[in-house]
Amino acid sequence: MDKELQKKYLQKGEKIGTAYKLLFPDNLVSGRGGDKMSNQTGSSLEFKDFRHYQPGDDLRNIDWNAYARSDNLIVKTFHKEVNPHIDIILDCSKSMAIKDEKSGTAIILAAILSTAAANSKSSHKLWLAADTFKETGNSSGRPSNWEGINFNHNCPPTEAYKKMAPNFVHNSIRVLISDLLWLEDPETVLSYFNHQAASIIVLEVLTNSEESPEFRGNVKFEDSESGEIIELYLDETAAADYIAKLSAHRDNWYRASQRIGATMISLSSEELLESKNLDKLLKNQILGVL
Amino acid sequence: MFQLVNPWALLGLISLPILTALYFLRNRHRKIKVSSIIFWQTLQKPKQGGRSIKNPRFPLLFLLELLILILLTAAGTRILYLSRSQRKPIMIILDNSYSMSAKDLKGKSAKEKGIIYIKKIIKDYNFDPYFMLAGDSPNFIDNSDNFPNFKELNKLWQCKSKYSCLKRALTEAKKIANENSYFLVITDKAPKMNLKKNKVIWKALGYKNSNIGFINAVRKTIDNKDQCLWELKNFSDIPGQTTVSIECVEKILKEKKYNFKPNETIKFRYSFPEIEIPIYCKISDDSLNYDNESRLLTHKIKKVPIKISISNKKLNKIIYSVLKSTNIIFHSEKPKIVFTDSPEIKANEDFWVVQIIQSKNPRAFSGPFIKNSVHPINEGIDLRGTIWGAGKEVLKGIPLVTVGNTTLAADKEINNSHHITIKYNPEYSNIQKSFNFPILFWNIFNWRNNENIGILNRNLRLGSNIYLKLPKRTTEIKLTTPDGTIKKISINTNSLIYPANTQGIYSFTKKEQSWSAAVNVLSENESDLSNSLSGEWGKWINENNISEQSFKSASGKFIMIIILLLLIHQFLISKSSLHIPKQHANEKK
Repeated sequence: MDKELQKKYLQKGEKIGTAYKLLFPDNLVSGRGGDKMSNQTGSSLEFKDFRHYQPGDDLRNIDWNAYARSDNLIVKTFHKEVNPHIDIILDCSKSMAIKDEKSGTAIILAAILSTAAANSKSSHKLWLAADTFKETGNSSGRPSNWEGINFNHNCPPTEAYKKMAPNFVHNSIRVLISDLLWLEDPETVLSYFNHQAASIIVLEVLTNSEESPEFRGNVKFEDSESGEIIELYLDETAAADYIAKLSAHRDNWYRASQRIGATMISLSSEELLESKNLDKLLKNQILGVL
Repeated sequence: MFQLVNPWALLGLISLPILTALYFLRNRHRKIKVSSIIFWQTLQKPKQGGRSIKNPRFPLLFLLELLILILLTAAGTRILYLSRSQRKPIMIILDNSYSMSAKDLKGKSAKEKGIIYIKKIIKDYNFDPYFMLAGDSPNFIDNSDNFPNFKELNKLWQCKSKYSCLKRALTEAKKIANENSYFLVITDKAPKMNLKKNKVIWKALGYKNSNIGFINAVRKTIDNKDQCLWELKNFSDIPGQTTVSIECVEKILKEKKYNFKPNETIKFRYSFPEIEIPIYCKISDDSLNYDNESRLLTHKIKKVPIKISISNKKLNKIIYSVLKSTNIIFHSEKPKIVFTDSPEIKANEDFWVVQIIQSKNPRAFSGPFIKNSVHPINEGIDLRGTIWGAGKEVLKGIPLVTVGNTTLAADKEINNSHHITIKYNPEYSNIQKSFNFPILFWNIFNWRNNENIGILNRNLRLGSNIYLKLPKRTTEIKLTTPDGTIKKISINTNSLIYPANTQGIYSFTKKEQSWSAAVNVLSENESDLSNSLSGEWGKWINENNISEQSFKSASGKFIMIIILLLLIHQFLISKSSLHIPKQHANEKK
């Protein structure tokens, strides 16, 4: 992907992201208090709401005046004070660049998330899972200023992690943007990124042809990363077999995500680029509309 | 040989490059770059074992399809192939007489023209030919292994017989042939019989020409002097001329030019002291060279020692007189034949006995007389009009002459010797006044001479048999034929009868002993080319369809092969398509 196109995608993602805010998970608590008010109920001084008393509530928060007026135990709630951070991990292997649409979708997603994070007054950082883990240039800045994103590496993110573990922010939200097309136990992979994380979000990006291959007949497949070639005669049976195997692989990732409390969302690059539909992210309360 | 009924069907071959192009386009692998091949690799994994073995790819289906298309095209063209089983058999009877070698004005013989004609007939009608040589006797040529080998046929068809038994050969050929057979006679003369309709073609390829040839040749040694006599005839209605050359060991003894009137026969003699070498007489080359040479060997008639022991004076006189007239006897005390009227003298190893029985009650028999015609004693005997006086006595041995139930002469063999008994009463007979009487006795001497070792008649006509009496316990002799071929002949009975089918000198050798015989053509019928002609008689049934009947369509066979190939094709396709679902099913389990 040339730099201009990459820039366009970044700008596009940034533009889309301005309409959204990043929603934080419940367990996102700063030890010394945060700079940002969370939507969750917390212990800051800023009033949030009233509600009926429930056993276990702090008695100090009972509004005795309201009790006097209504003869009901009413508790005052306050906004939670947080210090949120999002680490976006972008899979920079060659498989992500099999089509410009695929790599573009990944870039746009990263840009949307970082812009939404900024809208939520959260800090962010973009990590590139290349030969090793490394930050992109201006990784905490505006996405349009990001530099050095190249999808030309031959190893999956776990290999990069093993070579040099990234310095993720403690208790940060970690987002992995990848096609997940490598054979490794998903739970092991997620455990690398789950260490001292508030939450993990896995965004699987695949093209339509990867999800459901349309070509038939004699094909010579070349692996984008290893360069290995296999020759096949593709018919409906073979295609069905491929889809079944992909589905099983994806199920493994879903199950592993569920086990460690991560959220996994599968996205189609063509669908996202055409409709700019972020329903899946909204539905999973990763993003919220401003 | 092939024929295409629908050659335009060859256009179907256009489908071959089309199929080839389709095959290569279809089997061309599109190169597609994918993110990962991990889910495609499992499709190729073997069900069992370790590494998959990649065998060389052989496009069997493609080749099958190509073959099917080629066969379909071939079936469409309706290829007709020549099948020997479908070919109509033809029996070709070849005139093997030497007149077939007579040349026409262009220098071509009837035999040469015959071979050309036969080749054409076989090619035009696709016949399956069988050959029969018609010489002195019919001779079938077995050509089943090397059909049709004209080189071999040319060797066998020598045209050296003095006679061609065409009628007999045709009869024999019809016996051998089946009902679908055709018949062709190659000769140089017109047919002398009615040809069966629609079955036989009589092809004469001769040429009426003038010819001078030997019709007789004799050599006799009398009183230490060899005398030769030759007869030459001009077989033509116009005068002829030839130069006669008498030669001996490549030395010309005499040369003379003779002028012949139309159809004239000229005799000429040549005498010289007795010499044991062949004398050749040659004439100038003409249209038929085979009868232009004669060779003669010395022929000395051996006299037979006899003894007459007949008590009856009258009979003695008659017998003595007739024996003397044969001129081949002499009286000896060591006779080979004893003539007697006594029953006491019996034949033994040293001599034969001719016993004359005079009956006391004779009768005059006037016939009909029945003679044993195969016995040498009866050769040339004609008893018509003869009165034979004899009694009713019973004779022992093989009857030689009988009348009614009365045997007049008999032969009894005793220890390889012969006791001949003749009932004869001269006063009741007139046989002694006929030519039969000296012939009868001459035959007895000749027969006795035949029992001598060697060849009795050394100068023979073509087609005669050479009679050779051999020493006892002879098991094998060597024969050198006129063409120089040396043969070994096994002997069982101390004698040999060998047919002289080629003119020239035959030499028989046993260790240091040797005997030879000269054979000469001397056949007026064959040397006479005035009857030779060209023409065709007879007709074959369905003559125009003979060729087509010999072809058989191969389309049916092609269709059968196509069906078989289609089944194999279908089997291979179903086998290959079953492979992936099975693997898939196993994985799901």
